[in-house]
Amino acid sequence: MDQGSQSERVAEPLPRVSTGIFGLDNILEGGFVPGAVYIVQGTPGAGKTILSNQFCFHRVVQGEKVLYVTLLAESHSRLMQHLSSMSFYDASRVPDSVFYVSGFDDLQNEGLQGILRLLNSESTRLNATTIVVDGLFVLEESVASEREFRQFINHLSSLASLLGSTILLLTNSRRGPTSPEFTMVDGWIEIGMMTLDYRSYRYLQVHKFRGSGFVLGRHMALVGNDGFRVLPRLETVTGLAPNNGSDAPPLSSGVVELDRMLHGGLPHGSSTLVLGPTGIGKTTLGLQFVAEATPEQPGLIFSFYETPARIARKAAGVGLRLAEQIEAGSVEVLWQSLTDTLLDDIGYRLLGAVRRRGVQRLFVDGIDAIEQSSIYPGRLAPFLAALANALRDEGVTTIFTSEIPQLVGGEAEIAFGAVSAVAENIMLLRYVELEASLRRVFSLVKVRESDFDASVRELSITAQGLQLKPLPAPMEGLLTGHMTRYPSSVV
Amino acid sequence: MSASPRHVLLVEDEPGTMTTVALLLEMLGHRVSRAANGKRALAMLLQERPDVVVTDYMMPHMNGLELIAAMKADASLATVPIVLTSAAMPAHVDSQVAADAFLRKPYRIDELTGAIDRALQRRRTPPP
Repeated sequence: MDQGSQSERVAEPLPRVSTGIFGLDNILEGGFVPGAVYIVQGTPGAGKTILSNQFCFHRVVQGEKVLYVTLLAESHSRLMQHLSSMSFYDASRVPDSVFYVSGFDDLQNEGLQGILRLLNSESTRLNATTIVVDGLFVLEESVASEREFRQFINHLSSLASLLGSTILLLTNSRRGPTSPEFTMVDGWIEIGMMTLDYRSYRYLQVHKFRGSGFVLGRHMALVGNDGFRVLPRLETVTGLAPNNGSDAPPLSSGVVELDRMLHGGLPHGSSTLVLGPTGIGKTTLGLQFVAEATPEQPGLIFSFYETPARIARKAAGVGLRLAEQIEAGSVEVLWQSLTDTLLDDIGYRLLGAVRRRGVQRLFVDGIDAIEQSSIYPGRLAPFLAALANALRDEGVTTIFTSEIPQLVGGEAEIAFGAVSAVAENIMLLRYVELEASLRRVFSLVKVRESDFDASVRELSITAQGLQLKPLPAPMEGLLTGHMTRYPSSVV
Repeated sequence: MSASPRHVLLVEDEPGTMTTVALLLEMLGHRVSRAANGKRALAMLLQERPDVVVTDYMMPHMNGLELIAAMKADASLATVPIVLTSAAMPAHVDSQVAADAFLRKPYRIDELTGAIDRALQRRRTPPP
């Protein structure tokens, strides 16, 4: 035997069955394992029934058959009525491919042995490879001893293995991790609800998953007409390691003078943070950047504050034909409501829109709105770093705006951490008092691995867009908001 | 509502549906026997001799269509009127042909008594 090859042998990954649930396969590193038993635990209303039925109908689309056994009082017709509003539900698949039966009579007359016999006979009769038992807690309550219940779970594991079936056990029991069912099954998924202040959130957490790694911790979840969606924490899926950038030529910023200051344009695949107070021209700068998009180099405006119609009007006011570009499909505008939005939902929506059209120019207006969606402030920096990194991986050149609270004066503070991870380029826009009038000024603070013109320019918004021109005389004090001429002795 | 009290064999695997439907039928004056699946129903039929069978389709061990087929194969049971109920039927089955009356779940109790009447009437009327 070749000892060397034996020692280098790589373990074969276990086969998987895709769950068909957004995000869950990522968390489980591929899906459920055939022949395994999983507990799906959650309070009433958390989404166990929707999650399990969505899995069932996904397996049916793959050509499989499903046995769904209930031990609860809810009727199957009522269950199907409730599911009928879900996009995954296909009434034509019932009962040929999804067969709903009650196990109540078998449990009452023959106990747990009756349930085992039912699962065996019905799944064999239907040739079902996915089995759901809805109401595990009813079985727990019906046994005389923990030992009997432990034996049942043991037999169930053997049955799943012999049939090659994936078995989901749904329960709303509050029993803990030391209970036999949790120690004996192959996996344990918890779906829960939590309330912070006045908002309630769904989450999914995998506590145990035999046979492979899985993404630890809580992940926010959503239930809508498209079914159950899990949002794996973005930083756990995309990673935090920065990529190495791109050698592609820079992209025009859409402002001629700014391109000169950048010595060509924005580095391809880089992220730029545009800092400035409200009304100073951050959005106009972003619009000019995206207006350079072409069908081959599509653009996306992801806006939190201004609706698509308002953005189109604003663009027209500075000479941009954004409406025509939107019509032609080279630019898309997505408006994201700030109401009850989840951080990861924003991230996946943004990345989905980028990937869908192969976006090259992205304008996110603004990054502060993303901060407002963060339940846990400590997550914001790693989330933004992961988002920026995922965008770089897609080869997207991005402009983020961030609002400075002070209109004039004060320090230009950035509200979130990890700025270096988020933005390789930083632009600062400020109102300053100059010669008894309020002016706008612009400066490049940082540009990725590139020389750039760091001089302060006066910024004006005209019908032809942003214009940058040299200051009337050498000045200082941009950061304070009170610019003054250099002393004559220095000039 | 049915004109006269009947003996109904209710075949239903869902305990909630079984209890409620049986109770409502009994309140209307009918006598109700209960079976949780087709296999149990078949065993009860010879002893109980009901006037009508109301059976669900999706049940373990023996589904509603298998029960109907077994009844039709037995000369002593072939004339018992049958009402088939289900939230869904197999694509290849004409539910109106499979039984004397078909009722889609969920149904109201007056719809069920109407279906029982239709099934009884159909068996009384000789085929043309």
